Amino acid sequence: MKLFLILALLCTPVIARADDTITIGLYAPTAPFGGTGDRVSFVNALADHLSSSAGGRKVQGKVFSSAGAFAAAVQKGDVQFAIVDAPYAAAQGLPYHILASAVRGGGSTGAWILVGRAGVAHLSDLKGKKIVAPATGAKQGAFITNALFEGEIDATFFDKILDAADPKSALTMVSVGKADAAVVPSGVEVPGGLSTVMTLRSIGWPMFVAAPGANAELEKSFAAAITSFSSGGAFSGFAAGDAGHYRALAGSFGKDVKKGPLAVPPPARLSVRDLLEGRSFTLPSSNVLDLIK
Amino acid sequence: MKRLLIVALLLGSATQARQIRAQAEDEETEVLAGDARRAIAKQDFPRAAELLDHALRVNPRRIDLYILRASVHGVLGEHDKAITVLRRAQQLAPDNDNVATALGIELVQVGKTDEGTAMLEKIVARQPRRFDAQAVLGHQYATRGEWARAATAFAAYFDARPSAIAGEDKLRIEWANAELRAGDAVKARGLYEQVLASNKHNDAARLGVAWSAAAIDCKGAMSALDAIADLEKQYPEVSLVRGRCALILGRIDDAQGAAERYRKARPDAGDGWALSGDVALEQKNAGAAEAAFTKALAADGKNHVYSFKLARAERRLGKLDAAAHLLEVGAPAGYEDDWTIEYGEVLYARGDGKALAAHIGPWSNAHPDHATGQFLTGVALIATGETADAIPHLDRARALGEPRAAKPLIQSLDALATAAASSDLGKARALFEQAAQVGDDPATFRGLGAVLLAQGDASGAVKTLEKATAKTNDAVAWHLLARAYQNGKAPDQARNAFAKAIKAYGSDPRAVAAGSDLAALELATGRGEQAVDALIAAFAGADAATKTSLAKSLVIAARAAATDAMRTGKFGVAVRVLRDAQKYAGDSTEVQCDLALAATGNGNRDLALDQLHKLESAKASCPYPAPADELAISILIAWNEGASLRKAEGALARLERIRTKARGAAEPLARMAARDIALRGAQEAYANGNLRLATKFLLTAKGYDRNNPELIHDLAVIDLANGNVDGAIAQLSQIKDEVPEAYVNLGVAYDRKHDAQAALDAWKKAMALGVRYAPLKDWIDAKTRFWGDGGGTP
Repeated sequence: MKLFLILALLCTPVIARADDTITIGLYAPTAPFGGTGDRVSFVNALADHLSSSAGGRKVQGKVFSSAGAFAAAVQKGDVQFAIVDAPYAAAQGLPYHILASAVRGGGSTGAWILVGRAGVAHLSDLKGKKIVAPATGAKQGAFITNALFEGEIDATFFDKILDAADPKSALTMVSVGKADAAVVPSGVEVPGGLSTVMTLRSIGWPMFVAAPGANAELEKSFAAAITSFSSGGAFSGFAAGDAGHYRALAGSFGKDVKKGPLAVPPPARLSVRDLLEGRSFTLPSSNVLDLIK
Repeated sequence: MKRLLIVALLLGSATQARQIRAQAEDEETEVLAGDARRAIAKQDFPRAAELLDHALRVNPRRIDLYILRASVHGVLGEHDKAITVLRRAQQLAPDNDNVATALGIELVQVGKTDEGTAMLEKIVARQPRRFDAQAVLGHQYATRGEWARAATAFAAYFDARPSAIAGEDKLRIEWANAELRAGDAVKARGLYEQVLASNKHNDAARLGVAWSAAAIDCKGAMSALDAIADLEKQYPEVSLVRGRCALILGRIDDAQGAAERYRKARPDAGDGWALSGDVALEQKNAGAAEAAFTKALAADGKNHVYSFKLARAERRLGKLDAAAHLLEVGAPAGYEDDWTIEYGEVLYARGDGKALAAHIGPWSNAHPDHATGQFLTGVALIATGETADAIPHLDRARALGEPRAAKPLIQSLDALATAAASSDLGKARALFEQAAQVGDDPATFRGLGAVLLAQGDASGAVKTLEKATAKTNDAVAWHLLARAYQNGKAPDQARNAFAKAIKAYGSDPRAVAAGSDLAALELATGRGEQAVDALIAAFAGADAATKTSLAKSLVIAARAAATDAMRTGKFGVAVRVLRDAQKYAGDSTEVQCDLALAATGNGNRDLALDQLHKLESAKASCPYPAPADELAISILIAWNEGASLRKAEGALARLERIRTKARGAAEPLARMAARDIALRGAQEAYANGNLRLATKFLLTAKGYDRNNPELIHDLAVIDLANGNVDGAIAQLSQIKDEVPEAYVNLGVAYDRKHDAQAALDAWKKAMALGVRYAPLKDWIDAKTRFWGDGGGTP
C-alpha cells in the first residue's frame, strides 16, 4: 500500500507553478534547426506570441538538450507546454495533448532520407556498416529499423547505430568518416561528398503539446493563438495538430511480423451434387382447348 | 266509251238482222224496221224508237227488233226500259246469245255489274270472239283493278272487233293501261306507241309511254320523262314518276326536287310525302323519313303502303314497338314480300328469335333466293338454339349478297367448332377452316390455332394465330400464339407473346393461366428463376383456389431453380428463389430442406439453422437420396453451428457420430461439413493467434480430407508461424500450383530468411494469380523500394 502511494506521488505531475509563469519547453533534437541559437530564438518568439493569450501570465521558452532533463521538467511541472520531436513523443506513447504541428515548407510532415558516403548506392551496401542518426531520446533502434526502414531490416543489419546531437551533426559525422551513412530529416543541407541513397517514410515535424495537467483554459487559448504564429527559421509556424499521423508513427515502432493467410475453401465449394442427384422438375401447361371455350 | 259501245251494238244488231230477214214475212214490219234503221243512221233516235215500237206491235216475235229497240233505249239513257225489253226478248228466245249479250251489257251499264259480268263471261266462254262482250268485260275488270283479266279481255276485243270500228284510241289506251298494271310494260308501251302513231298529241299515250318506260328501266325512262316535261304541270304524276326513277338511279337531289314539285302541285296527296320519305331513307335520314311518311299517312290514313314505309323508318330509328304496331295491320297489296321482310327485321331487332323463326321460316322456305329472308331465318335459328340448322341459311344469305350474314355465320361455325373441339378435333378444324374462309375473324383464327396446336401442328398454329394477333390485341390469341411458339421451339418469341397476353388479359383471371404457362416454358428451358418470377407475378391476380394451385407450381419452380443454382455453386441465387417461394407458397418441407441446404452453402448460418431447427422439431425427412433424407438435417445443423469457434468442437463431435451411419450422399455431406467446420475453426483460431487450436482443427480436417491441398497449405502456414521456416517452405513449394495463397506464405517465409528477392518474387506471383490479401501490395511496394525490383540481399 505504501509502495502504491509513493508511485502515485512520483507519477503525479506538479501542476502550475506558484509564480504563474508558463514555460514552453523545446525538445526536438531531430528537427532541422541551424543550431542551439536557432532553437532558443524559435521558442522564445513563440513564447512571446502566446503571452498575449496567457491571461496576463508570463510565458517563457526553454530549450532542452537531453530527453531526461525534458522529461524531468515535465514531470515536475516546470514545463506546461512544449515543442516535442515526433519520434521522441511517439516512442513515449504520446503522453501529451497535441495542440498543433510545426509547419516546414508548407507541410506538417517531412520525409527522412538515407545519406551515404561516397560508394554507398543501395541499402544493401550498408550491411554491417555504421550509421548515425540524430538522437531521438528514446527507442532509437526501433525508430530506425521498424519505423524508418519499415521492418525491412533488423538491428543486426548494421554494425552500429551512432547518436548525433542533431541532423547537421549526424551528416558531419559521415563527412568526417565516423559513420558510413546517416538518416536525417529532409531539408537539411547535405554536405559535399555525401549523397542521398533513398528517401524513407515521412515523419511528422515537432508537435506543440500541452503537458499532462496543463491549464485547460490556456490549452484552448494557446491552441487558438499558435496557428497565427509565424517564424523565419526552421519552421514557418504551426498548423492544427494531426494526432493520427503521430499515432501511426507510434504504432510503427513495433516489429512488423508478417503473417500470411490460410487457404480455407469458401462455403460455395459445398458440393451438393450427390444430394440433388436425379432431380427433375416440370410444370404442366394449360389445355389450349380450354382457352377457346 | 259508252257511245262507242252503242255504235258497236247497232252494227252488231244490223248484222244479225240481215241473217233473220229471210224468216220475216211481214212486209209491214220489215218496212217499219227499215225506217227505224234509217232514223238511227240519222241519229234520230226518238223516231227510231217510235218506228220500232210500231214494228214490234205488228210482229212481236222479231227478236232482232227487241235488241234494236233496247239499244235505242240505251242510247237515250233509258237503260231500265232497255233491260225490260231485253228480258222480254230473252223470254221469247232464252238461248239467243245476241239477246244475252245485249242484256249483260245493259246490266253493267245500270250498275248491276255482277249479274251483267256473269252473263257476259258465260257468253265469251262460249264465243270468245264476241268483241262487244269482251270490250265491256275489259272495262269492267279494269274498274275492279283486275288488270290481267282486263288486259286479256281487251286483247280479245281487239282481236275480234270488226275493222269498221277500228281507231278507237281510248279503248286501246285502256288496254295499254291494263297491260302496264298487269306487269307487261313492254306490251303496254307498244300499245301506247300505236296510239301515238296515229295521234302524236294523245296525252294519255305520251304519259303511257313514259310510265311503261319507267317500269321497264328507269335509266332508259329518263329521256321519255324528259319528253313529257311539258305535261308535268297538267299531270303532276310526271313529277312523281320522275322522282321515283331518279331515286332508283341514285339521283337524290333530282328525286327530292321532283317530290317537292309534286307536293306543291298536289298538296293534299300523300305520294309526294311518301317519295320524300323514300328519299330521306335513301339518305339514311330515318328521322326525316319518319316525318315525311307520317305526313303521307296524315294525307291518306288508309294507305297501307305509307304505314309500311313509316314502319321501316321507325325501325331504323329503333322505335321497334311503333314499327311493329304499324306492320301488324298487315301487308299492303303488292308489298307482301317487303312487309314480311320488314316485320322480320323488326322481330330481329327486338331480339325475339322465337317469333322471328315462326314468322320468317315458312316464307323463307318458299323464297330460298331471298338474301335477307335467308339471313333472318339463320339468325332466328341461332336465337332458338338451332345453330347447326342456321348455317345453310346464313351461307345462302351470304352467297346472295346479304352483308350481315357473314358475322353470325362465322360465329355459328366457331361455336360448333368449339363445341366439337373436345371430342373431334378434325371436325372442329374443318368448321374453323370453313369460318376462316368466310372472313378474317380473330376468334376463328384463335380457335383454329388452338385446334392446330392440339393436333400438334405448331407451325400451322403460329401462322394462324399471327393473323389473329395482327388484327387485334386479343389476350387469348397472344396466349395461344405463345404456346404455339413454345411448341415450335421459339422460346424468345413465346416469352414475348406471353408478356403481351398477360398485359392484354389485365385483370382477367386467365392472366394467371398465362403466367403459369410462361413459368412452364421458363422451367422447360432451364430458366427456373424466371419461372419463379412469372408465378409470383401471377399471384397478384389469382383467387384463393388458384393461389393454392400456383403455390404448388411455385414450389416446383423454385426448387428447380434452386437445384440448378446449387449445382453450379450459386447458392445465393438458390436462397433468393426459395425465400421468394416461401413468401408466397408458405412453408413446405421440400422448400425448407432446400433452403437450409442453399443457405448453408451461401454462408447464411442463421437462416439455415432457422429452417433446420424447424425441420428437426417436425422430425421431417428431406427429399434427398437415403440415408441423406434422414441424416441431412443433423449434418447441416452441425455444419452451421460449427461455423462458430465456440461450437466447432461440439459440432465436430456430433458429425463424427453421424459419420458412422452416413452412406451414399450423406457420407460426403458429413465429410464436407466436418472439414468445413474444422477449416473455419482453424482459420478463426489462427486469426486469433491461437496456433495450438488452429493446428488441432486442421488435423481434424485432415482426418476427413487427407489429401486436400488447402489443408496441407494451412498446416505449413502454422509451421511457419511456429518458426519452422524451412519445413514450411518445403510444404508450401509442393502445393503452390494448387493453392495460390501458398505464394504469399512462401514470400513470408523467404522474408523471415531475409531473402528479399525470393520473397518479392513469391508475392508478385501471388498477385499475378489473383490472390486477394490486403497487405500484399504494401509488402511488395516496401520490398521494391528498399531493395529494388531487381533484388539485392539485405
